[in-house]
Amino acid sequence: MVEYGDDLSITEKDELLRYIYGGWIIDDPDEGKRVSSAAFRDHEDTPMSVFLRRELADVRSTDIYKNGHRWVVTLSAGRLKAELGQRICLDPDPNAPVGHRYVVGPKKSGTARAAFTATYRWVIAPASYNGSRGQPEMIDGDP
Amino acid sequence: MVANAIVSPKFYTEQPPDFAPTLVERESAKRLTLRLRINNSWTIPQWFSKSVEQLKDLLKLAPGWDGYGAEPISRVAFHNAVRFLATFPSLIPPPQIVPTSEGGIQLEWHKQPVNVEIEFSPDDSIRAYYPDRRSEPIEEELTIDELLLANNLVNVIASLPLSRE
Repeated sequence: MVEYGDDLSITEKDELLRYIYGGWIIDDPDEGKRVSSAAFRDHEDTPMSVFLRRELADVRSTDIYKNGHRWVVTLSAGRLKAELGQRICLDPDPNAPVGHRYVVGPKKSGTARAAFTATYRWVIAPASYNGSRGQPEMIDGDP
Repeated sequence: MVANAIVSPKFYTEQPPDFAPTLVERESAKRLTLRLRINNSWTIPQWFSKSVEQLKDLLKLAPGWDGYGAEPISRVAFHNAVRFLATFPSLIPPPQIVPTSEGGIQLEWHKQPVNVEIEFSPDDSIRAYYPDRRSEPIEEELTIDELLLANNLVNVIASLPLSRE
C-alpha cells in the first residue's frame, strides 16, 4: 500500500483545481448545471487527483485539460483540511505532472458528498450554469 | 403554481410493485439487446427507454474515461440500475445518470434543499443517500432486492417538484 506524505507547503489559501469529466456535469433546476458528487471520489487504487493552482502556468496548461476535460472547479485547501478532514499529499511518482497532488481522506459518506459539492467553485463553467454559486472565471460551452 | 406543485408522496406506498424485474442481455458485435421482464399491469415511466440508452452508453466508456484512470463501467452496476428504474411508477421524475470512477453508476435527483443519490457499485453493493420526513439525512447500504422494496426512498423522489419528462 502506497504511503502518501502530506504536502507541508500547502496553506489554507491554496486553491486545488479539479478537472471535470463532462459526464459528471448534470442539469440542476436551481443552478442550471452542477457537478455531481461522483466527481469527488477516490479511484480503486489511488486517491482523488487535484492540481495545485499556484504551480501551474495557466489553468489550461495541463494535459488533462488539453485531452478534453475542459471544465474546471476549484476547492479550497484550507476547507478540505479543516472541515472535510482531508489531507493534501504529494504524488510520490517522480514523473507526476506539474502541480499534481492527491486528496486523501474519506469521501463516500453522505456528509462528505454534501460537503464536497457545497464547497467547489467554478473556474471554467459550462454555458448553462446560472451563476448562482458565484461567477466563473471563464465559460466554455456545455457538455 | 402547477409547475411547482409537489406530487403526493403517498401514491407509491398505496400501489407498490408486486414484482422484481429480471433483465437478460444479449450482445452482438453491433448492439446490446436487453429483455426486461416486468409485471404486465405495471406502467413504466415514459423516460425509461431514454434512461436505459444513457446507461448503455456508459458501458462504452473506455478505461481512463475520466482523465484520471477510471475503470470501465461494470455490468453488475448496469443491471442493478436498470432493474431499479423498471420498478418506478410512471409519475416519478427521471434521474440524472453519472458514471463513477471505480466503475459504478450513480443516479441523482436534486431540488434544493433535497438531494437524493443512489450509487450502484461494481461489487454489487448499493448505497442510498436521501432525507427523511424531517429532512435529516439517511445513509443506507442495501442489496438490490432491498432497494426494489425501498418505498420510503422512492416516495422522496416522487415528492420532488421536477419535470416528469
